[in-house]
Amino acid sequence: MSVARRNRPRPTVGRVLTVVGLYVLMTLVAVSILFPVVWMLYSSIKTNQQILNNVFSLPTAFNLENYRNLFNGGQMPVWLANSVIVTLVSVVGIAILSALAAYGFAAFSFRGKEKLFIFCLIGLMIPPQALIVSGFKWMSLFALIGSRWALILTYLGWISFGVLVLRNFFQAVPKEIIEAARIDGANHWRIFTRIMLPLARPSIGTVVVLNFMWVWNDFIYPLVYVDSADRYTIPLGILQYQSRLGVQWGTQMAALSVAAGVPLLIYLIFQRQFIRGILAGSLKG
Amino acid sequence: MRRNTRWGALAAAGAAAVLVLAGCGAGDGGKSSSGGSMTLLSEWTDGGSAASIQSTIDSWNKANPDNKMTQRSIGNEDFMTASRTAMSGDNPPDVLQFEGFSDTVDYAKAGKLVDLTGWWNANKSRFALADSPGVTRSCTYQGKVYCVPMSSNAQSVLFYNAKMLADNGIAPPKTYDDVVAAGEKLNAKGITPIALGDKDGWPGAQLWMTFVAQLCGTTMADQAVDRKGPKWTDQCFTDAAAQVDSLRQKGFFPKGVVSDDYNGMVSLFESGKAAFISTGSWFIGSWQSAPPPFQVGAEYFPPVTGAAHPDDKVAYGGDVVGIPTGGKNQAEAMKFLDYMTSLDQAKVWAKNYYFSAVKGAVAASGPANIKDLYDQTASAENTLGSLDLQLPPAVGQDVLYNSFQSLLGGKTTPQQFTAALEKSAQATQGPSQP
Amino acid sequence: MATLTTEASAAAHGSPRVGRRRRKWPALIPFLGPALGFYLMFLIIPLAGTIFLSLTDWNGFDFGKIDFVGVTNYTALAHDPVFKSALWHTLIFVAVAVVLKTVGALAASLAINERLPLATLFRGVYVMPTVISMVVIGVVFNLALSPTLGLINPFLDAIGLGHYAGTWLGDPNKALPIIILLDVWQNFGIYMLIYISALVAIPEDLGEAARVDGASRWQEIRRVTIPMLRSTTGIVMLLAGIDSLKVFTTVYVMTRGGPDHATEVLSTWGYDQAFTQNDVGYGSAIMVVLLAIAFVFAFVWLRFFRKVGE
Repeated sequence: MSVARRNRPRPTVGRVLTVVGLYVLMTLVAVSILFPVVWMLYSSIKTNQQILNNVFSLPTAFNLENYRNLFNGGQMPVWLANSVIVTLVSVVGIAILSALAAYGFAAFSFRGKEKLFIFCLIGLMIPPQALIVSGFKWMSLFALIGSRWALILTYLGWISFGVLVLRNFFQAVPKEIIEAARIDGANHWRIFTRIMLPLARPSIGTVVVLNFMWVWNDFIYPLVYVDSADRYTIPLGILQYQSRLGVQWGTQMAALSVAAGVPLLIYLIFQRQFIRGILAGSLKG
Repeated sequence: MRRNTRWGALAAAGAAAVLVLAGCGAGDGGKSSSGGSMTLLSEWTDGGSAASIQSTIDSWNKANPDNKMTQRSIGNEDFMTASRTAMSGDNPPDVLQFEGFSDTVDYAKAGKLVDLTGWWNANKSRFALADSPGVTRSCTYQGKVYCVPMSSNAQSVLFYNAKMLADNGIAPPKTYDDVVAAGEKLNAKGITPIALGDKDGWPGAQLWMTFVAQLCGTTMADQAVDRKGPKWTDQCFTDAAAQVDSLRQKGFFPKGVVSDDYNGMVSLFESGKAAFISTGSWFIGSWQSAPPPFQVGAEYFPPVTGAAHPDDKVAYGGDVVGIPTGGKNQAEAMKFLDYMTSLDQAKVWAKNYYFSAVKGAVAASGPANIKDLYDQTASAENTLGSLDLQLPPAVGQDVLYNSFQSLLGGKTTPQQFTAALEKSAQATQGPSQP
Repeated sequence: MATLTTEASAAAHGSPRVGRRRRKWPALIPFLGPALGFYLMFLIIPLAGTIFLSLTDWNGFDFGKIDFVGVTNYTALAHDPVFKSALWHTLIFVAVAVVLKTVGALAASLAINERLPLATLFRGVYVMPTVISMVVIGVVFNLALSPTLGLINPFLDAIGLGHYAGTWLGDPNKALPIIILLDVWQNFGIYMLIYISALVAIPEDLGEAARVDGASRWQEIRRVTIPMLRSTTGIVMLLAGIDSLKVFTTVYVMTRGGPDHATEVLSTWGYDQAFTQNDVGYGSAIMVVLLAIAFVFAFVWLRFFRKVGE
């Protein structure tokens, strides 16, 4: 990196303008993104009436009543627990399954591999709404409706994205590395665990983070597969604060803040992982 | 390399821990089939109803520790998805709250609801509107009764911000012309007269129905629904749409009338930015958690001058409860139903601003400002059930909502609206023959 | 192990297939097997169920009364004006969204890869919309765009562009473009992440070579970096396309498909038919059409990016 810097020509007017323009554009986009987040957070410390009076005004007092309602009187702890359990198990499962399958696609060749790969992409093509009716009946046959496993097993079928991304990554690993390992006597398992997985950390990170968000925010499956209030996940629970007849804005914003907090945390954790992978220099092989 | 192993071990340990937790909770797939527990599924998520049903359940559980009831509620349109799916499965709730009319027909036809005719005939004297079309059509299928009304919704209600009217020198309107005059005065001052947000389609459609009841009358409208002669293209239905259109042309509705949703229109009214709001009595129930900071007046939407049926109202059993035949505990569920609709329990609901269908509840414990509205509802003779609920969804929820929404956006004329409605009704239900 | 020797010698002899087929399957199964197992059980089988349902007439909750009607639902699609609109809207959505998402993600990832100050911050922020539930985004933007309660019209007034004020989501002509923009805004962060993880893997020396030859940073990006991202661009376009095809929540939360079906897309219309109109067979048929289109899209993509497929 330092070599590149030294060789770089002195900044021209053009370059300065480009950089400034870039910053302005990027800041505008960033502000438009932060705005809903910030609004959600500061609305969660306003009372319902305050929000109604002026939707976008800043709060005048720090009022944690909404959060208190969620946790003391409300069911948020239950929802949080259910969401955490279901999402963690599902995402760990998805990561393991996709990495294994991606390696299978990348390292072996066999007849029909292409077709099988496209077949595995079907999962990306269907909106979940298309599957809940038949999925409900299918799960009923196993008497799983109402259990967290109905959700977890369903999410474990969401391997398509992981397989796509990781297969792409594994295929791009230089052949020399693999050949060298083979010559050293490594079998597929060792290549997979000792070479491929460590190299793929950023991509695995991406797969984990994104699947975490998708599973965490999913509400269509819980809507249909859960039949008792003590198994509600957060997206389903948030519907408590909406009804056809009115929204409890304040409490809903607090619930949404909690709901957004966890994936954000996961992202922050994996962001650091991301950087560590880069700094380790293991990719500059 | 060492880093990898540590990460791997950590991940494995974490996964194992979570798997154990998941396993703990997953063993109880489905409900326990041993006698002694029941479930209720409802839409009662908002403040007043949620508190009421929980209170009813708590007192039932205290008196019946061997047959406890638990409940779950889902708000919004998603309730439809969840409830229909639940009804299709092997473990439907023991008691289901729904909205009657076409839902009752669907469920009863499929044999999914227990026949309550006997119980209803024995108990109907304690319900308001028991013989009025708004209730009978909601729960009756082929002569048998399959559900019981919990609420007597008044739908064509005009609420007003008493303080705002007073501040602007407007007396509470008694006639339709008063309303128009008030609206024009408010418009001149830059205040939105009537809060309305029709993104979901039903708030606007309900306004149309208000005028349908007044201009066409309950009987004719019900016959149009049943395809027994009158058509939606008949003059009075178009006139009803034209009434709303004239209000639109006068600029009585907010600019966002097409894209704001129900919550938006409520926010507009409750934040004091609009003087009137026309919606149903359920609006009152939402005050339980956060009453508006001003006095709210409520009365039925005054009839249009010269209306043929000035006393006809849109009012009906809004929330109905039934007992799914797939339930495992029907006898106890029946007892719970009886308990829920007892006067004592109904009084609790009424105290929470609920328009209980049980006679005498609101009179005994309802808040003062709704008693008058309630009395008018309870004693109404010609009550029209909400047309979007009565019609099959393809007509009542697709064409009715979308086409009327387009009218509110100024893109569809009243004639085009009723023509579209009739066309859809003919396609779905067949022609209308006396 | 015999496998290795066989493989190594086969590689040395330049014929990788000899001897592999016999030994390959036991090694392959632990890799592909588990994922395929869950996938088949919990995704493909329900999908097969949906395809079956598309050949039936069913109201959705009475399992005793499913009537098999063959392709009637599909022929009915041809006479359904809303279906045709929804199809059209979906195709427009895909075409526009894919381009915007790819270009946007690429631009953002390149900018962030420059390692200018605050780059990490921007990267973190740009991924945030994926974290935030669509409910919040929907609520905020519905409010912000509301002509009644919102910010946008007053804002336009304030900067002198008041004549552009309108009903936004209530305007049948503007609603779809607005939703497409919103979907791009919400999702480009994912594709940016994918680009970044690919950019990070590009060795610096390649760029060095170009720079030593006198190329500017921009030329270096254009001539060296972007071509190296070809396979990633392929992935991004595939994902963006498929995602845009099946978009549901964004449309549902913002407009429910309105006003008067102006923003109706295939997934929302299918859902409406299945769960509001109680015509599960017809709704399933619409979903199957959506799936078919996705297939076509994927095959076209394969043709284009065959090099990546290997």
